[in-house]
Amino acid sequence: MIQQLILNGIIAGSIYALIALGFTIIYRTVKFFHFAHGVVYTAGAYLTYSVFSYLLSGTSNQLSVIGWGIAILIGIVGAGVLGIFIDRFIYHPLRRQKASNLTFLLASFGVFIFLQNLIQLIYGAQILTIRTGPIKEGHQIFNAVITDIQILILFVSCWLLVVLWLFIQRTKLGKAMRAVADDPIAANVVGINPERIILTSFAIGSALAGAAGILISFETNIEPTMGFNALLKGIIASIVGGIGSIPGAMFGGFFLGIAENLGIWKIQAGWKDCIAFAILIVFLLLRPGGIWGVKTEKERL
Amino acid sequence: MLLEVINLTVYYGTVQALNNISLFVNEGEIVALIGPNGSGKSTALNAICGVLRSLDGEIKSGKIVFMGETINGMLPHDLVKKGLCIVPEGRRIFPTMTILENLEMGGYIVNDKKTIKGTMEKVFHLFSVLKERRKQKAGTLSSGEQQMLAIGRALMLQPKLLLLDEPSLGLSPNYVEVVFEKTKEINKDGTSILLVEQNARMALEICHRGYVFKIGEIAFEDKAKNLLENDEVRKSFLGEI
Ligand SMILES: Nc1ncnc2c1ncn2[C@@H]1O[C@H](COP(=O)(O)OP(=O)(O)OP(=O)(O)O)[C@@H](O)[C@H]1O
Ligand SMILES: [Mg+2]
Repeated sequence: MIQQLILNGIIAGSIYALIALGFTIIYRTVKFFHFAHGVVYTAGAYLTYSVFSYLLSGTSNQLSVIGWGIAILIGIVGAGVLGIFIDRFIYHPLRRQKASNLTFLLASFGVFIFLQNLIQLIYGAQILTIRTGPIKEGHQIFNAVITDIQILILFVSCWLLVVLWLFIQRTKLGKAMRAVADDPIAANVVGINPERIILTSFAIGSALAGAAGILISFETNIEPTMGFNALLKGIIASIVGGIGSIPGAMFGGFFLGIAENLGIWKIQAGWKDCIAFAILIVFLLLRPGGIWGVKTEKERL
Repeated sequence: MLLEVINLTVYYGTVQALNNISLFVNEGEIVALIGPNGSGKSTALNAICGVLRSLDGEIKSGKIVFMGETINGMLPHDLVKKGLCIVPEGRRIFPTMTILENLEMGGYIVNDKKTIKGTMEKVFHLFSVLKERRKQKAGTLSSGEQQMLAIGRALMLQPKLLLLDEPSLGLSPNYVEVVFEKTKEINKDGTSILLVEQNARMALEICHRGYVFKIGEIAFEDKAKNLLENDEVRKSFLGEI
Protein backbone atom coordinates (compact mmCIF):
# COMPACT_ATOMS: atom_id res chain seq x y z
CA MET A 1 0.00 0.00 0.00
CA ILE A 2 2.61 2.51 1.03
CA GLN A 3 4.77 1.64 -2.00
CA GLN A 4 1.80 2.34 -4.26
CA LEU A 5 1.13 5.67 -2.55
CA ILE A 6 4.75 6.74 -2.91
CA LEU A 7 4.73 5.75 -6.56
CA ASN A 8 1.50 7.66 -7.17
CA GLY A 9 3.08 10.58 -5.33
CA ILE A 10 6.15 10.53 -7.54
CA ILE A 11 4.01 10.50 -10.68
CA ALA A 12 1.79 13.34 -9.47
CA GLY A 13 4.92 15.09 -8.23
CA SER A 14 6.59 14.93 -11.62
CA ILE A 15 3.63 16.81 -13.08
CA TYR A 16 3.69 19.35 -10.25
CA ALA A 17 7.43 19.76 -10.75
CA LEU A 18 6.94 20.59 -14.43
CA ILE A 19 4.26 23.18 -13.65
CA ALA A 20 6.29 24.64 -10.79
CA LEU A 21 9.47 24.79 -12.87
CA GLY A 22 7.70 26.65 -15.67
CA PHE A 23 6.06 29.00 -13.19
CA THR A 24 9.40 29.64 -11.49
CA ILE A 25 11.31 30.27 -14.71
CA ILE A 26 8.78 32.98 -15.58
CA TYR A 27 8.59 34.37 -12.03
CA ARG A 28 12.37 34.78 -11.88
CA THR A 29 12.45 37.16 -14.83
CA VAL A 30 9.22 39.12 -14.37
CA LYS A 31 8.94 38.93 -10.56
CA PHE A 32 5.17 38.61 -10.40
CA PHE A 33 2.86 35.58 -10.19
CA HIS A 34 1.84 34.66 -13.72
CA PHE A 35 -1.52 33.07 -12.88
CA ALA A 36 -2.39 32.54 -16.54
CA HIS A 37 0.22 29.78 -16.40
CA GLY A 38 -2.66 27.51 -15.32
CA VAL A 39 -4.63 28.04 -18.49
CA VAL A 40 -1.56 27.44 -20.64
CA TYR A 41 -1.46 24.00 -19.03
CA THR A 42 -5.11 23.48 -20.04
CA ALA A 43 -4.45 24.73 -23.55
CA GLY A 44 -1.59 22.25 -23.99
CA ALA A 45 -3.91 19.38 -23.05
CA TYR A 46 -6.67 20.53 -25.39
CA LEU A 47 -4.31 21.10 -28.28
CA THR A 48 -2.97 17.58 -27.97
CA TYR A 49 -6.54 16.29 -27.63
CA SER A 50 -7.39 17.97 -30.95
CA VAL A 51 -4.37 16.50 -32.70
CA PHE A 52 -5.18 13.06 -31.31
CA SER A 53 -8.79 13.33 -32.45
CA TYR A 54 -7.73 14.54 -35.87
CA LEU A 55 -5.20 11.78 -36.40
CA LEU A 56 -7.62 9.15 -35.15
CA SER A 57 -10.69 10.39 -37.01
CA GLY A 58 -12.25 7.77 -39.22
CA THR A 59 -10.13 4.93 -37.89
CA SER A 60 -10.49 2.69 -34.93
CA ASN A 61 -6.77 2.11 -34.78
CA GLN A 62 -4.39 3.18 -32.13
CA LEU A 63 -1.95 5.98 -32.78
CA SER A 64 1.53 5.05 -33.90
CA VAL A 65 4.57 6.25 -31.99
CA ILE A 66 5.02 8.98 -34.58
CA GLY A 67 1.41 10.05 -34.05
CA TRP A 68 2.01 10.31 -30.32
CA GLY A 69 5.17 12.28 -30.93
CA ILE A 70 3.44 14.72 -33.25
CA ALA A 71 0.53 15.23 -30.85
CA ILE A 72 2.81 15.86 -27.89
CA LEU A 73 5.13 18.14 -29.86
CA ILE A 74 2.31 20.27 -31.26
CA GLY A 75 0.80 20.60 -27.77
CA ILE A 76 4.11 21.68 -26.24
CA VAL A 77 5.06 24.10 -28.99
CA GLY A 78 1.53 25.51 -29.02
CA ALA A 79 1.68 26.16 -25.29
CA GLY A 80 5.04 27.91 -25.70
CA VAL A 81 3.65 30.11 -28.45
CA LEU A 82 0.61 30.91 -26.30
CA GLY A 83 2.97 32.03 -23.52
CA ILE A 84 4.83 34.29 -25.94
CA PHE A 85 1.53 35.79 -27.10
CA ILE A 86 0.36 36.46 -23.55
CA ASP A 87 3.58 38.30 -22.82
CA ARG A 88 3.69 40.26 -26.07
CA PHE A 89 0.07 41.39 -26.08
CA ILE A 90 -0.72 41.74 -22.38
CA TYR A 91 2.36 42.03 -20.19
CA HIS A 92 4.68 43.83 -22.59
CA PRO A 93 2.38 46.86 -23.02
CA LEU A 94 1.95 46.94 -19.23
CA ARG A 95 5.72 46.88 -18.72
CA ARG A 96 6.08 49.83 -21.05
CA GLN A 97 3.61 51.73 -18.91
CA LYS A 98 5.56 50.72 -15.79
CA ALA A 99 2.40 49.15 -14.37
CA SER A 100 2.35 48.06 -10.74
CA ASN A 101 2.58 44.43 -9.65
CA LEU A 102 -1.11 44.49 -8.73
CA THR A 103 -1.98 45.43 -12.30
CA PHE A 104 0.06 42.49 -13.57
CA LEU A 105 -1.71 40.12 -11.20
CA LEU A 106 -5.15 41.33 -12.24
CA ALA A 107 -4.23 41.17 -15.91
CA SER A 108 -2.92 37.68 -15.36
CA PHE A 109 -6.20 36.60 -13.75
CA GLY A 110 -8.08 38.22 -16.60
CA VAL A 111 -6.12 36.27 -19.18
CA PHE A 112 -6.69 33.08 -17.22
CA ILE A 113 -10.47 33.54 -17.12
CA PHE A 114 -10.72 34.74 -20.71
CA LEU A 115 -8.76 31.84 -22.15
CA GLN A 116 -10.51 29.29 -19.94
CA ASN A 117 -13.87 30.51 -21.20
CA LEU A 118 -12.58 30.50 -24.74
CA ILE A 119 -11.60 26.85 -24.38
CA GLN A 120 -15.03 26.10 -22.92
CA LEU A 121 -16.67 27.87 -25.85
CA ILE A 122 -14.71 25.84 -28.39
CA TYR A 123 -14.75 22.40 -26.76
CA GLY A 124 -17.73 22.61 -24.40
CA ALA A 125 -17.74 22.34 -20.63
CA GLN A 126 -18.00 18.54 -20.51
CA ILE A 127 -15.23 16.12 -19.69
CA LEU A 128 -13.21 14.84 -22.65
CA THR A 129 -10.97 11.81 -22.89
CA ILE A 130 -7.98 11.23 -25.10
CA ARG A 131 -8.25 7.80 -26.71
CA THR A 132 -4.85 6.44 -25.76
CA GLY A 133 -5.87 2.88 -26.44
CA PRO A 134 -7.24 0.01 -24.39
CA ILE A 135 -6.44 0.00 -20.71
CA LYS A 136 -3.70 -2.50 -20.11
CA GLU A 137 -2.73 -4.17 -16.91
CA GLY A 138 0.14 -2.46 -15.17
CA HIS A 139 3.59 -3.74 -14.36
CA GLN A 140 4.57 -4.86 -10.90
CA ILE A 141 7.52 -3.10 -9.31
CA PHE A 142 8.40 -3.01 -5.61
CA ASN A 143 4.90 -4.22 -4.68
CA ALA A 144 3.31 -1.38 -6.63
CA VAL A 145 1.57 -1.26 -9.99
CA ILE A 146 2.62 1.13 -12.74
CA THR A 147 0.95 1.42 -16.15
CA ASP A 148 2.62 2.11 -19.51
CA ILE A 149 1.12 5.57 -19.54
CA GLN A 150 2.52 6.30 -16.10
CA ILE A 151 5.95 5.14 -17.21
CA LEU A 152 5.66 7.52 -20.16
CA ILE A 153 4.67 10.38 -17.83
CA LEU A 154 7.60 9.73 -15.50
CA PHE A 155 10.06 9.29 -18.32
CA VAL A 156 9.05 12.40 -20.27
CA SER A 157 8.75 14.66 -17.24
CA CYS A 158 12.07 13.59 -15.71
CA TRP A 159 13.74 13.93 -19.09
CA LEU A 160 12.36 17.47 -19.42
CA LEU A 161 13.49 18.38 -15.91
CA VAL A 162 17.03 17.17 -16.60
CA VAL A 163 17.22 18.87 -19.99
CA LEU A 164 15.96 22.13 -18.52
CA TRP A 165 18.41 21.93 -15.66
CA LEU A 166 21.32 21.41 -18.05
CA PHE A 167 20.07 24.19 -20.31
CA ILE A 168 19.93 26.69 -17.46
CA GLN A 169 23.25 25.63 -15.94
CA ARG A 170 25.33 25.15 -19.05
CA THR A 171 24.17 27.18 -22.03
CA LYS A 172 24.84 30.86 -22.64
CA LEU A 173 21.14 31.62 -22.90
CA GLY A 174 20.45 29.70 -19.69
CA LYS A 175 23.15 31.65 -17.89
CA ALA A 176 21.74 34.91 -19.21
CA MET A 177 18.38 33.85 -17.75
CA ARG A 178 20.05 33.37 -14.39
CA ALA A 179 21.81 36.72 -14.72
CA VAL A 180 18.51 38.52 -15.33
CA ALA A 181 16.98 36.69 -12.37
CA ASP A 182 19.88 37.84 -10.17
CA ASP A 183 19.93 41.48 -11.26
CA PRO A 184 18.13 42.75 -14.36
CA ILE A 185 19.97 46.07 -14.46
CA ALA A 186 23.38 44.44 -14.15
CA ALA A 187 22.36 42.01 -16.87
CA ASN A 188 21.33 44.91 -19.05
CA VAL A 189 24.65 46.72 -18.68
CA VAL A 190 26.65 43.68 -19.76
CA GLY A 191 24.65 43.64 -22.97
CA ILE A 192 21.78 41.25 -22.26
CA ASN A 193 18.50 42.49 -23.71
CA PRO A 194 16.02 41.87 -20.88
CA GLU A 195 13.01 41.75 -23.21
CA ARG A 196 14.55 38.87 -25.11
CA ILE A 197 15.16 36.95 -21.91
CA ILE A 198 11.61 37.58 -20.74
CA LEU A 199 10.25 36.25 -24.01
CA THR A 200 12.49 33.18 -23.82
CA SER A 201 11.32 32.54 -20.26
CA PHE A 202 7.68 32.72 -21.29
CA ALA A 203 8.30 30.38 -24.21
CA ILE A 204 10.12 27.79 -22.12
CA GLY A 205 8.00 28.13 -18.98
CA SER A 206 4.78 27.84 -20.96
CA ALA A 207 6.04 24.87 -22.95
CA LEU A 208 6.67 23.13 -19.64
CA ALA A 209 3.13 23.91 -18.46
CA GLY A 210 1.82 22.57 -21.76
CA ALA A 211 3.88 19.41 -21.36
CA ALA A 212 2.44 18.88 -17.89
CA GLY A 213 -1.13 19.33 -19.17
CA ILE A 214 -0.53 16.94 -22.04
CA LEU A 215 0.99 14.24 -19.85
CA ILE A 216 -1.85 14.41 -17.35
CA SER A 217 -4.41 14.20 -20.15
CA PHE A 218 -3.14 10.72 -21.00
CA GLU A 219 -3.88 9.63 -17.46
CA THR A 220 -7.16 11.37 -16.61
CA ASN A 221 -10.00 13.20 -18.29
CA ILE A 222 -9.63 16.82 -19.31
CA GLU A 223 -12.00 19.72 -18.71
CA PRO A 224 -11.71 23.47 -19.26
CA THR A 225 -11.30 24.23 -15.55
CA MET A 226 -8.47 21.75 -14.99
CA GLY A 227 -5.87 24.53 -14.98
CA PHE A 228 -6.94 26.10 -11.73
CA ASN A 229 -6.06 23.24 -9.43
CA ALA A 230 -2.87 22.62 -11.38
CA LEU A 231 -1.88 26.27 -10.98
CA LEU A 232 -2.46 26.15 -7.23
CA LYS A 233 -0.36 23.03 -6.89
CA GLY A 234 2.37 24.54 -9.04
CA ILE A 235 2.45 27.70 -6.92
CA ILE A 236 2.41 25.74 -3.65
CA ALA A 237 5.24 23.53 -4.91
CA SER A 238 7.23 26.64 -5.91
CA ILE A 239 6.77 28.25 -2.50
CA VAL A 240 7.45 25.06 -0.58
CA GLY A 241 10.59 24.51 -2.66
CA GLY A 242 11.69 28.12 -2.21
CA ILE A 243 10.17 30.76 -4.45
CA GLY A 244 12.37 31.60 -7.43
CA SER A 245 14.64 28.61 -6.93
CA ILE A 246 14.89 26.20 -9.86
CA PRO A 247 15.98 23.10 -7.93
CA GLY A 248 13.47 24.21 -5.28
CA ALA A 249 10.60 24.11 -7.78
CA MET A 250 11.52 20.63 -8.96
CA PHE A 251 12.02 19.33 -5.47
CA GLY A 252 8.89 21.08 -4.17
CA GLY A 253 6.82 19.40 -6.89
CA PHE A 254 7.89 15.90 -5.89
CA PHE A 255 7.64 16.73 -2.20
CA LEU A 256 4.07 17.95 -2.62
CA GLY A 257 3.02 14.99 -4.75
CA ILE A 258 4.41 12.45 -2.32
CA ALA A 259 3.13 14.28 0.77
CA GLU A 260 -0.39 14.52 -0.67
CA ASN A 261 -0.51 10.86 -1.54
CA LEU A 262 0.98 9.70 1.73
CA GLY A 263 -1.52 11.92 3.49
CA ILE A 264 -4.49 10.01 2.09
CA TRP A 265 -3.07 6.84 3.53
CA LYS A 266 -4.73 7.68 6.82
CA ILE A 267 -7.20 10.36 5.76
CA GLN A 268 -9.97 10.23 3.16
CA ALA A 269 -8.94 11.00 -0.44
CA GLY A 270 -11.21 14.04 -0.51
CA TRP A 271 -8.79 15.81 1.81
CA LYS A 272 -5.95 15.75 -0.72
CA ASP A 273 -6.19 19.43 -1.60
CA CYS A 274 -6.42 20.33 2.07
CA ILE A 275 -3.14 18.56 2.67
CA ALA A 276 -1.47 20.72 0.01
CA PHE A 277 -2.71 23.89 1.66
CA ALA A 278 -1.80 22.66 5.13
CA ILE A 279 1.74 22.07 3.88
CA LEU A 280 1.77 25.56 2.36
CA ILE A 281 0.70 27.18 5.60
CA VAL A 282 3.18 25.20 7.67
CA PHE A 283 5.99 26.30 5.35
CA LEU A 284 4.89 29.93 5.25
CA LEU A 285 4.87 30.02 9.04
CA LEU A 286 7.93 27.95 9.86
CA ARG A 287 10.17 28.08 6.83
CA PRO A 288 9.14 30.89 4.46
CA GLY A 289 12.33 30.42 2.43
CA GLY A 290 11.15 26.95 1.46
CA ILE A 291 13.09 23.70 1.40
CA TRP A 292 15.84 25.33 -0.61
CA GLY A 293 16.08 28.14 1.90
CA VAL A 294 15.75 31.04 -0.50
CA LYS A 295 16.41 34.32 1.26
CA THR A 296 13.29 36.43 1.43
CA GLU A 297 13.43 40.03 0.18
CA LYS A 298 13.88 41.38 3.69
CA GLU A 299 16.87 39.22 4.49
CA ARG A 300 18.51 40.16 1.23
CA LEU A 301 18.69 43.85 2.10
CA MET B 1 36.70 63.77 -28.31
CA LEU B 2 35.44 60.39 -27.16
CA LEU B 3 32.44 61.50 -25.14
CA GLU B 4 30.69 64.82 -25.03
CA VAL B 5 27.71 65.69 -22.84
CA ILE B 6 26.06 68.93 -23.85
CA ASN B 7 23.60 70.88 -21.70
CA LEU B 8 22.10 67.80 -20.13
CA THR B 9 19.01 68.16 -17.92
CA VAL B 10 17.59 65.11 -16.17
CA TYR B 11 14.45 64.59 -14.10
CA TYR B 12 13.16 61.75 -11.95
CA GLY B 13 9.44 62.34 -12.27
CA THR B 14 9.04 65.94 -11.20
CA VAL B 15 12.35 66.06 -9.32
CA GLN B 16 15.23 67.62 -11.17
CA ALA B 17 18.53 65.79 -10.70
CA LEU B 18 20.76 67.49 -13.29
CA ASN B 19 20.51 71.02 -14.53
CA ASN B 20 22.14 71.81 -17.83
CA ILE B 21 25.48 70.13 -17.28
CA SER B 22 28.20 69.79 -19.92
CA LEU B 23 31.33 67.67 -19.77
CA PHE B 24 33.64 65.73 -22.04
CA VAL B 25 36.19 62.93 -22.02
CA ASN B 26 39.10 62.80 -24.43
CA GLU B 27 40.57 59.60 -25.73
CA GLY B 28 43.03 58.16 -23.19
CA GLU B 29 41.90 60.30 -20.27
CA ILE B 30 40.76 59.52 -16.77
CA VAL B 31 38.17 62.12 -15.82
CA ALA B 32 36.82 62.31 -12.28
CA LEU B 33 33.42 63.54 -11.14
CA ILE B 34 33.45 64.56 -7.49
CA GLY B 35 30.89 66.23 -5.29
CA PRO B 36 28.70 65.67 -2.25
CA ASN B 37 26.03 62.95 -1.90
CA GLY B 38 22.98 63.48 -4.03
CA SER B 39 24.64 66.03 -6.31
CA GLY B 40 23.85 63.99 -9.42
CA LYS B 41 27.10 62.18 -10.22
CA SER B 42 25.51 58.76 -10.60
CA THR B 43 22.65 60.29 -12.53
CA ALA B 44 25.16 61.65 -15.04
CA LEU B 45 26.79 58.23 -15.51
CA ASN B 46 23.45 56.45 -15.72
CA ALA B 47 22.22 58.91 -18.34
CA ILE B 48 25.34 58.29 -20.42
CA CYS B 49 25.19 54.47 -20.30
CA GLY B 50 21.42 54.26 -20.84
CA VAL B 51 20.42 52.80 -17.46
CA LEU B 52 18.53 55.97 -16.54
CA ARG B 53 15.28 54.77 -18.03
CA SER B 54 15.25 51.63 -15.89
CA LEU B 55 15.54 53.93 -12.85
CA ASP B 56 12.53 55.98 -13.96
CA GLY B 57 14.68 58.94 -14.91
CA GLU B 58 14.30 60.97 -18.08
CA ILE B 59 16.55 63.19 -20.15
CA LYS B 60 14.52 66.39 -20.55
CA SER B 61 16.98 68.22 -22.77
CA GLY B 62 20.55 68.11 -23.96
CA LYS B 63 22.67 65.76 -25.96
CA ILE B 64 25.11 62.92 -25.33
CA VAL B 65 27.59 62.26 -28.11
CA PHE B 66 29.83 59.18 -28.10
CA MET B 67 32.43 58.85 -30.86
CA GLY B 68 30.57 61.35 -33.00
CA GLU B 69 27.18 59.68 -32.63
CA THR B 70 24.28 61.00 -30.58
CA ILE B 71 23.35 58.26 -28.15
CA ASN B 72 20.46 59.86 -26.20
CA GLY B 73 17.77 57.33 -25.44
CA MET B 74 19.80 54.32 -26.52
CA LEU B 75 19.61 51.35 -24.16
CA PRO B 76 22.54 49.77 -22.30
CA HIS B 77 22.53 46.55 -24.32
CA ASP B 78 23.02 48.56 -27.51
CA LEU B 79 25.59 50.94 -26.04
CA VAL B 80 27.91 48.17 -24.88
CA LYS B 81 28.24 47.13 -28.51
CA LYS B 82 29.69 50.57 -29.20
CA GLY B 83 32.27 50.17 -26.45
CA LEU B 84 30.58 52.14 -23.70
CA CYS B 85 30.15 50.30 -20.47
CA ILE B 86 29.54 50.94 -16.78
CA VAL B 87 30.52 49.39 -13.46
CA PRO B 88 27.44 50.42 -11.53
CA GLU B 89 27.27 51.83 -8.03
CA GLY B 90 27.11 49.00 -5.51
CA ARG B 91 28.97 46.59 -7.82
CA ARG B 92 25.93 44.58 -8.87
CA ILE B 93 27.67 41.31 -9.58
CA PHE B 94 25.49 38.25 -10.14
CA PRO B 95 25.54 36.77 -6.63
CA THR B 96 24.24 33.26 -7.36
CA MET B 97 26.63 32.75 -10.26
CA THR B 98 30.29 31.79 -10.07
CA ILE B 99 33.11 34.21 -10.83
CA LEU B 100 33.68 32.42 -14.10
CA GLU B 101 30.01 32.73 -15.06
CA ASN B 102 30.01 36.40 -14.11
CA LEU B 103 32.93 36.99 -16.44
CA GLU B 104 31.28 34.93 -19.17
CA MET B 105 28.22 37.16 -18.86
CA GLY B 106 30.55 40.15 -19.14
CA GLY B 107 31.45 38.80 -22.56
CA TYR B 108 27.83 38.07 -23.46
CA ILE B 109 27.85 40.10 -26.68
CA VAL B 110 31.20 38.69 -27.79
CA ASN B 111 30.62 35.69 -29.99
CA ASP B 112 34.16 34.55 -30.65
CA LYS B 113 35.19 32.02 -27.98
CA LYS B 114 38.89 32.70 -28.52
CA THR B 115 38.45 36.43 -27.92
CA ILE B 116 36.50 35.71 -24.74
CA LYS B 117 39.23 33.39 -23.48
CA GLY B 118 41.95 35.88 -24.33
CA THR B 119 40.17 38.74 -22.57
CA MET B 120 39.50 36.55 -19.57
CA GLU B 121 43.20 35.77 -19.30
CA LYS B 122 43.91 39.49 -19.27
CA VAL B 123 41.32 40.02 -16.55
CA PHE B 124 42.81 37.16 -14.51
CA HIS B 125 46.23 38.71 -15.00
CA LEU B 126 44.97 42.03 -13.69
CA PHE B 127 43.03 40.49 -10.78
CA SER B 128 44.67 37.23 -9.78
CA VAL B 129 42.19 36.70 -6.91
CA LEU B 130 39.50 36.09 -9.49
CA LYS B 131 41.44 33.27 -11.09
CA GLU B 132 42.07 31.51 -7.80
CA ARG B 133 38.40 31.62 -6.91
CA ARG B 134 36.80 31.25 -10.30
CA LYS B 135 34.51 28.40 -9.22
CA GLN B 136 33.26 30.31 -6.17
CA LYS B 137 29.79 31.92 -6.05
CA ALA B 138 30.22 35.66 -6.45
CA GLY B 139 27.83 36.39 -3.58
CA THR B 140 30.26 34.80 -1.14
CA LEU B 141 33.16 37.12 -2.06
CA SER B 142 34.26 40.03 0.11
CA SER B 143 33.23 43.53 -1.02
CA GLY B 144 36.74 44.16 -2.31
CA GLU B 145 36.78 40.98 -4.34
CA GLN B 146 33.29 41.73 -5.63
CA GLN B 147 34.51 45.10 -6.84
CA MET B 148 37.41 43.45 -8.67
CA LEU B 149 34.88 41.11 -10.25
CA ALA B 150 32.57 43.96 -11.24
CA ILE B 151 35.44 45.76 -12.95
CA GLY B 152 36.69 42.54 -14.50
CA ARG B 153 33.23 41.77 -15.82
CA ALA B 154 33.04 45.17 -17.51
CA LEU B 155 36.52 44.71 -19.00
CA MET B 156 35.31 41.52 -20.70
CA LEU B 157 33.62 43.84 -23.19
CA GLN B 158 36.94 45.55 -23.95
CA PRO B 159 35.28 48.94 -23.68
CA LYS B 160 36.60 52.14 -25.20
CA LEU B 161 35.11 54.15 -22.37
CA LEU B 162 34.61 52.70 -18.91
CA LEU B 163 32.29 54.41 -16.46
CA LEU B 164 33.13 53.65 -12.83
CA ASP B 165 30.60 54.63 -10.17
CA GLU B 166 32.21 54.83 -6.72
CA PRO B 167 34.42 51.76 -7.06
CA SER B 168 36.06 52.32 -3.66
CA LEU B 169 32.80 52.63 -1.71
CA GLY B 170 32.66 50.38 1.35
CA LEU B 171 36.05 48.77 0.75
CA SER B 172 38.81 48.21 3.26
CA PRO B 173 41.75 50.68 2.93
CA ASN B 174 43.87 47.99 1.28
CA TYR B 175 41.34 47.40 -1.43
CA VAL B 176 40.80 51.13 -1.94
CA GLU B 177 44.49 51.34 -2.84
CA VAL B 178 44.18 48.37 -5.17
CA VAL B 179 41.12 49.83 -6.92
CA PHE B 180 42.89 53.08 -7.69
CA GLU B 181 46.05 51.30 -8.83
CA LYS B 182 44.11 49.04 -11.14
CA THR B 183 42.07 51.93 -12.49
CA LYS B 184 45.31 53.59 -13.49
CA GLU B 185 46.59 50.38 -15.02
CA ILE B 186 43.42 49.87 -17.06
CA ASN B 187 43.75 53.42 -18.33
CA LYS B 188 47.40 52.84 -19.28
CA ASP B 189 46.24 49.87 -21.35
CA GLY B 190 44.23 52.28 -23.47
CA THR B 191 40.76 52.43 -21.90
CA SER B 192 39.41 55.92 -21.23
CA ILE B 193 37.72 56.24 -17.88
CA LEU B 194 35.02 58.44 -16.38
CA LEU B 195 35.26 57.97 -12.63
CA VAL B 196 32.78 59.00 -9.93
CA GLU B 197 34.35 59.06 -6.48
CA GLN B 198 33.68 60.07 -2.89
CA ASN B 199 37.35 59.66 -2.21
CA ALA B 200 38.19 62.94 -3.92
CA ARG B 201 41.87 63.08 -3.08
CA MET B 202 42.73 59.67 -4.47
CA ALA B 203 40.54 60.26 -7.50
CA LEU B 204 42.22 63.58 -8.28
CA GLU B 205 45.64 62.01 -7.80
CA ILE B 206 45.13 59.50 -10.59
CA CYS B 207 42.96 61.48 -13.02
CA HIS B 208 43.79 64.03 -15.68
CA ARG B 209 40.84 66.35 -15.20
CA GLY B 210 37.95 66.67 -12.79
CA TYR B 211 34.46 68.15 -12.54
CA VAL B 212 33.03 69.25 -9.22
CA PHE B 213 29.28 68.70 -8.86
CA LYS B 214 27.03 70.75 -6.65
CA ILE B 215 23.32 70.03 -6.36
CA GLY B 216 22.73 69.02 -9.95
CA GLU B 217 25.15 71.44 -11.52
CA ILE B 218 28.84 71.53 -12.28
CA ALA B 219 30.38 74.11 -9.94
CA PHE B 220 33.75 74.06 -11.63
CA GLU B 221 36.11 72.01 -13.71
CA ASP B 222 39.86 71.98 -14.10
CA LYS B 223 43.00 69.95 -14.47
CA ALA B 224 43.34 67.53 -11.55
CA LYS B 225 46.50 69.25 -10.35
CA ASN B 226 44.75 72.60 -10.12
CA LEU B 227 41.73 71.12 -8.34
CA LEU B 228 44.00 69.58 -5.72
CA GLU B 229 45.32 73.06 -5.01
CA ASN B 230 41.97 74.80 -5.23
CA ASP B 231 40.96 76.28 -1.86
CA GLU B 232 37.30 75.43 -2.08
CA VAL B 233 37.98 71.87 -3.18
CA ARG B 234 40.48 71.45 -0.36
CA LYS B 235 37.98 72.77 2.15
CA SER B 236 34.91 70.88 0.97
CA PHE B 237 36.29 67.61 -0.33
CA LEU B 238 39.81 67.03 0.91
CA GLY B 239 39.14 67.81 4.55
CA GLU B 240 41.81 70.48 4.75
CA ILE B 241 42.00 74.04 6.13
N1 LIG C 1 15.68 56.52 -9.02
C1 LIG C 1 15.51 57.75 -8.51
N2 LIG C 1 14.27 58.27 -8.34
C2 LIG C 1 14.09 59.51 -7.83
N3 LIG C 1 15.08 60.34 -7.47
C3 LIG C 1 16.35 59.90 -7.61
C4 LIG C 1 16.63 58.58 -8.13
N4 LIG C 1 17.96 58.43 -8.15
C5 LIG C 1 18.49 59.57 -7.67
N5 LIG C 1 17.54 60.46 -7.34
C6 LIG C 1 17.74 61.83 -6.82
O1 LIG C 1 18.54 62.53 -7.75
C7 LIG C 1 19.52 63.29 -7.09
C8 LIG C 1 20.91 62.91 -7.57
O2 LIG C 1 21.18 61.58 -7.18
P1 LIG C 1 22.49 60.79 -7.62
O3 LIG C 1 22.32 59.40 -7.15
O4 LIG C 1 22.76 61.01 -9.03
O5 LIG C 1 23.60 61.52 -6.73
P2 LIG C 1 25.11 61.11 -6.46
O6 LIG C 1 25.89 62.33 -6.67
O7 LIG C 1 25.48 59.91 -7.22
O8 LIG C 1 25.07 60.79 -4.91
P3 LIG C 1 25.86 59.67 -4.07
O9 LIG C 1 27.19 60.21 -3.79
O10 LIG C 1 25.02 59.50 -2.85
O11 LIG C 1 25.89 58.42 -4.89
C9 LIG C 1 19.32 63.05 -5.61
O12 LIG C 1 18.60 64.11 -5.10
C10 LIG C 1 18.52 61.79 -5.54
O13 LIG C 1 17.67 61.78 -4.43
MG1 LIG D 1 25.99 57.94 -6.73
